[in-house]
Amino acid sequence: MFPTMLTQTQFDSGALAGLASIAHPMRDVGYWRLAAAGRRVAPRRQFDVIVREGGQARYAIELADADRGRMAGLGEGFLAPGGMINLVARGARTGCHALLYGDRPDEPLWDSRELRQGDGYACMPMRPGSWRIENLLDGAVGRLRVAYPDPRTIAAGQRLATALVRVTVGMAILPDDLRIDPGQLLVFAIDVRCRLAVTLEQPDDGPPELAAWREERSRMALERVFGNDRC
Amino acid sequence: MSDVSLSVSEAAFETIFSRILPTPLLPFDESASFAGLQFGVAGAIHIAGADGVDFEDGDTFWLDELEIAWDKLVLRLGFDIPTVRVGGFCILRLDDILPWESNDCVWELPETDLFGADTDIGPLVIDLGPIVSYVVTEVSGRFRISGVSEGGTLKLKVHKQSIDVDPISIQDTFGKLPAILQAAIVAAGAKYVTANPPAFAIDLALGILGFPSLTELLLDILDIGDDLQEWLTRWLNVEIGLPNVLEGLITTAVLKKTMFDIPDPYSLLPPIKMDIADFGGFADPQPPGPTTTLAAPAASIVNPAARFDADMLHIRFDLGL
Amino acid sequence: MADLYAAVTDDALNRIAGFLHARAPYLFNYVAPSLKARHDDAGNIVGFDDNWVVCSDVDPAPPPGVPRYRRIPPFGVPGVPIKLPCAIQLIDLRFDFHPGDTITLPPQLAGPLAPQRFALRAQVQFGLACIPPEAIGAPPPTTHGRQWILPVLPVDSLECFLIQFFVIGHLVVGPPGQQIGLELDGLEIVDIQPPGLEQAVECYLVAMLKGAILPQLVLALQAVPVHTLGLIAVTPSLSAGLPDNPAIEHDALHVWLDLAFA
Repeated sequence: MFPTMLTQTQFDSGALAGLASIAHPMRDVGYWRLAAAGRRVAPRRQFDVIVREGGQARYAIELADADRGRMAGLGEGFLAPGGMINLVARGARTGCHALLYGDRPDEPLWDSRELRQGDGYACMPMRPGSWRIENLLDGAVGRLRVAYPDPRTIAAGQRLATALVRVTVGMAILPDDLRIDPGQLLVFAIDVRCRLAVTLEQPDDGPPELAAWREERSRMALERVFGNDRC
Repeated sequence: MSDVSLSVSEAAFETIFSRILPTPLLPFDESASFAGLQFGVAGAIHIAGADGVDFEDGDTFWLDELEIAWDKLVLRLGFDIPTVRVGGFCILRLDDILPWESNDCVWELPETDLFGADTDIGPLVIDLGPIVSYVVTEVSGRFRISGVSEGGTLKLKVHKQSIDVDPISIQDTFGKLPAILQAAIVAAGAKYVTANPPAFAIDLALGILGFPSLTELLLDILDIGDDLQEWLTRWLNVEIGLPNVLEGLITTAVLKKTMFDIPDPYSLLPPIKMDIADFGGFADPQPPGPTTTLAAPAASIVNPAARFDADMLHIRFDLGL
Repeated sequence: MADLYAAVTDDALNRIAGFLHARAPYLFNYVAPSLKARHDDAGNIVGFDDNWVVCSDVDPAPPPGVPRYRRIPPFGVPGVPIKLPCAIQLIDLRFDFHPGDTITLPPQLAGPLAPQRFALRAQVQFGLACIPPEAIGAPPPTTHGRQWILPVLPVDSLECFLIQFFVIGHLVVGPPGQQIGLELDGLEIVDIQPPGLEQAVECYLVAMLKGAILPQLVLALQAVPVHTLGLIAVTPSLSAGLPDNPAIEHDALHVWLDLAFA
């Protein structure tokens, strides 16, 4: 009943899976080919990318699902210069990556396992707890805390934050100590070569007094509706 | 004047009608859904008797009250948990990078369902047996009487002409209903949580939906408002259309009840058991002795008629002799 | 107001009587049969069978297996050592309920018919055996020296005569248990002389009417309407507070009942 993306405890920009996305800008006019790769991607699939004036702002590609392939309604692979390829692999069990080819079919011009300046990576860690953010290519590290969705704050009228949280990946990962609510998207703006891993280190199952609080809260809610039939 | 005249008073007629009217259990099972709540009801009634017979000139009588007894009332509540979705928004626009450009979205996170669209809780099966005696169903009707020759008798039958079922109401002045419903919701919530760990996932879903507890989500879907009885009767009367369901059941059950059963042909003497030796001059074939039973001489019923006036039902017929 | 009312017309009762006269003639024909000898080939008497000698044949024949006659005992005459066969046959029977409009009463039963009264007119045919002189003092017949003891005189015909009589009566309700019975207000036989003989015959007739015929015709008036409607688990009783219940008026017999439902 709960899809695995809810319990995803690791994100890797080089092995795209689950609630994550990679964006790659296409600046020059021309013809390109994107190949999906990964252990469980079979058959290897290819996408034509045509960059020219009058194209779309983005081209969304689902790498893992053989049935879905290209997203409908975005124009088949016609990108305007400055538009971006959006990659997701939501159904992937193990991660996927993508290779972009130009004229030379054996020389990839871009490999999603090594993101570059101008690329973007986003992921949504849902599991409350403390996470570690690391650039696997240069060792830069940051800390992330996903707060437990405490129902007591919901009861007080607050709601989970939903705003995007932007992180810059440069010489260091900044900010390097993040606190987010589950459901907020981490968006990494990339300035250096990187492969980003976001990993759960310590899960948080919430304060122990919550069980009793939930019971009391339920009881009060029921009484409001059904009335208290004890004197 | 007809050979034979019989008249039945309104009071006696009502007693006789009330005796033939009771039916066995009439069960039903209906469901409806609205705004995330699936509402089902399985119940059974039976007709216990009749009250308030009022003859109308001609061949009809009005019945003030068909006594309906409730035997069973069981609710089934199913909750459609709203789909929890993430994504479906733009991460980066073109003019974030190139301010003079348009605000087209260049990077979008696709919409993803966290919990499937068919997630639900239930059905809670809630036995309202403790309050069936408080369910008030008022049914009145107009009936017609006519004679039918059938299987060796002339049957005076009652046909339904129209039946009116009022919206049902619940006179639960002692407040049993809230306790029953409350217990069911508590049990459902507890069962769901036990069956669907981990706790953080439920808290997360509830947090995204904006409910502090599962109970509050269920109560929101139930949408009971201030008056529980009014909520329940609205579901039963309007969404389920219970009066129509009951009308159909009653109509089928009351179809053609026999009020009076007139032997046809009509025996003019009882059968006689006799010793052969006491009689003579037998028409052939003579019965073997020593005793025999003579069949009853009988006359057929002709020109039967049945009509009401203000106070009496008048039945007339001639003998075919 | 009574729970149940029932009425039957005198015309219907007359048609029922005619119907029963044909279908159940044993209700109307009472016979003490005579005897007929059975002989063997040599002409010796070997036995005696009933010989149902009557004045009027029952015609047409009743339905199969139904008897024409009911047996009555033969009667004796002083000085005659053997019993005598006879026949009493009710030929015609007619009812008339108040107001009396179908039976013309004889002057001795002063008309018109009083309220709550019924009138009855009947024709009865009597048959008596004529005793042949040689039967008086004759020795009993014998076969092979054995004497036959005859219970009744063997004859082939009867001396028949027809009388007409009128009856006036009314219904009475008596204890216990609201039993409805008949009372005779008057009985008159027409055209019999001398008067003493008429009275003797009237006496005989009254006994037969009261004992046999009339009680059969007024069986449980309370139960009949309930049975007619096919009601069960109901106890009827005569409604109280009515001037006459049952009533004989408007050419019909009426009864009003209260019903006690079980």
